[in-house]
Parts: sequence; structure tokens; C-alpha cells
Amino acid sequence: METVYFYDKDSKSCPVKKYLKQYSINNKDKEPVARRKQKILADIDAKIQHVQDNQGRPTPPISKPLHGYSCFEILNPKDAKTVIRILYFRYQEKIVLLHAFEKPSVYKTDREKKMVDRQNKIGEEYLNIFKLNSKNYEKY
Amino acid sequence: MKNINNKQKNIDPIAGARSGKYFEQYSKEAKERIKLGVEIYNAREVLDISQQELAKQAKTTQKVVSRVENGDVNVGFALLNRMASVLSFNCENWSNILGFSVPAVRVIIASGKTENNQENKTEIFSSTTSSAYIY
Repeated sequence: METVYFYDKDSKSCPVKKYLKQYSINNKDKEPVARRKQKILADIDAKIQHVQDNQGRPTPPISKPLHGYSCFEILNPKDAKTVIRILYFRYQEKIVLLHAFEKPSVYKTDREKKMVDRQNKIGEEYLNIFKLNSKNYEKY
Repeated sequence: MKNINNKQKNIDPIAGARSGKYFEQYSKEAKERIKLGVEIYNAREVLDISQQELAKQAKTTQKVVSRVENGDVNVGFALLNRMASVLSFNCENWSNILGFSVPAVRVIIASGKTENNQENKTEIFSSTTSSAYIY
């Protein structure tokens, strides 16, 4: 089982890579910031490895099916109030990382719920695009 | 359809972070938290109790149980001990979490030989079949 990033032809980028780019360390980062960024990426990487060890099957509590959608989710906290949601699905022998975004850990308004639904739908669109052309990926 | 290999590859932030000096340590810690979280989740599922019930019995909150199961937080010894007690953790659970193998321990209280010259042992405890603690 191989893990890959979905490549979006329109934006000429991988949505998950694009989201995670904000955690790349740059030379201006001070030590605590660099540590925090590395911790978030290490945590996400460990969860993706766990999913890969389980052949991409949704294995709660680390990954779960996303209710109402065909993909699965991996959640990782960003801070006390914000969670990073990574959407993926299994296609043939691949675990395809489709989309990543931030969402509040608890929804307080309809606006927040709509925003999350919109992002989930984007992930579902990526899934359908990938199914049409399964060469649209970059290696993890 | 363009060949993806001809396109300029986007930089992989995770691959980039792997060379960071703290990444390996954080990665190891995350994997250990995941093992603990999965074991707690599985044990809770076997007992068919909710996060809320476990939280109540372990004197913590549902949110904390959720975060422990997701491998998002380090658990203090006191809380871990309370949760393990509620979930009746056995050797197998701890071996899954800590990554050691449980040796087959047998305690024999009677030993002798039968008429056919075969050993006749009465087994009262086997670590591989019992859920009792061995410390």
C-alpha cells in the first residue's frame, strides 16, 4: 500500500501539501515555533503511517469514515480550539491524501458548519477527479 | 493528459521536516501515544462503555478521554492508572502499548508422572490464557 498526494491540475498543486506548507520551517522561525511546527507535522505523519500500516482502512480512533461522504478523515489538533482535518480515500493499492483544512473543534455557528461542509465537498470533488484520472498524484 | 512527472514537483513539508532535529523524537512520541490511544479505544469497545462513562469512572472529562484515544495528548501516570483500572488492562494490553512480548509463564502446583510415564501437571495459571496481572 502506497500513500500519495492528490494532484489538482487546475491549481497545479497538491491540496494537502499546500495546506501543510504553512508548517514548513523557515530561517526566521524562533526555536519554540520551529518545535511546534515539527511536532504538528510529526503527529500528522505518525497518523498517516498508522493508516498505512492498516492498509488504509478506517481504524478508529485515528481515522474514521466521514459521515455523508465517500472518504475517510484523520484529525489532528492545531490548538485548543482548532482541528486539522485530512481527507483521504483508498483507491486500488493507494492511500490518496485528498484535502486538508482547519475546522473549529466545536461548531458554534451555522456559518462554521457551512464552511466545513464546503471543504468536505471539495474533498469529495477531488476524489471524483482522481477516479477519472488516477495518474494525478505525487508520492508521499 | 500531461505526464505528472514532467510537472514541477511541489515541496513536501513532511519530507522537509524529517531532517529537523526534533522530528524523530516527536514522531516516536506520537507513535507511542497512538498505540496507547488505540489500546484504550479497543478496550473501551470490548467493555461497550462510552467515553463519557469512562471519563466519569476515571474522574476526568469526555474531552480528555477523546484526546487520549486520538493520541493527541500525553497522559499522566495517575490518570493512566485510573483508566487502565476501569478498563481492566491485562498483560496483553500493556505489551501492546509498551511493545514487549509476554513470556509464557506457568505456575505448577502439582507435578508427577502417570502410569504411562507421562508427566502429569496441574496448571493453575498461564499468562497466555489468563487475564490476571503479573508484576
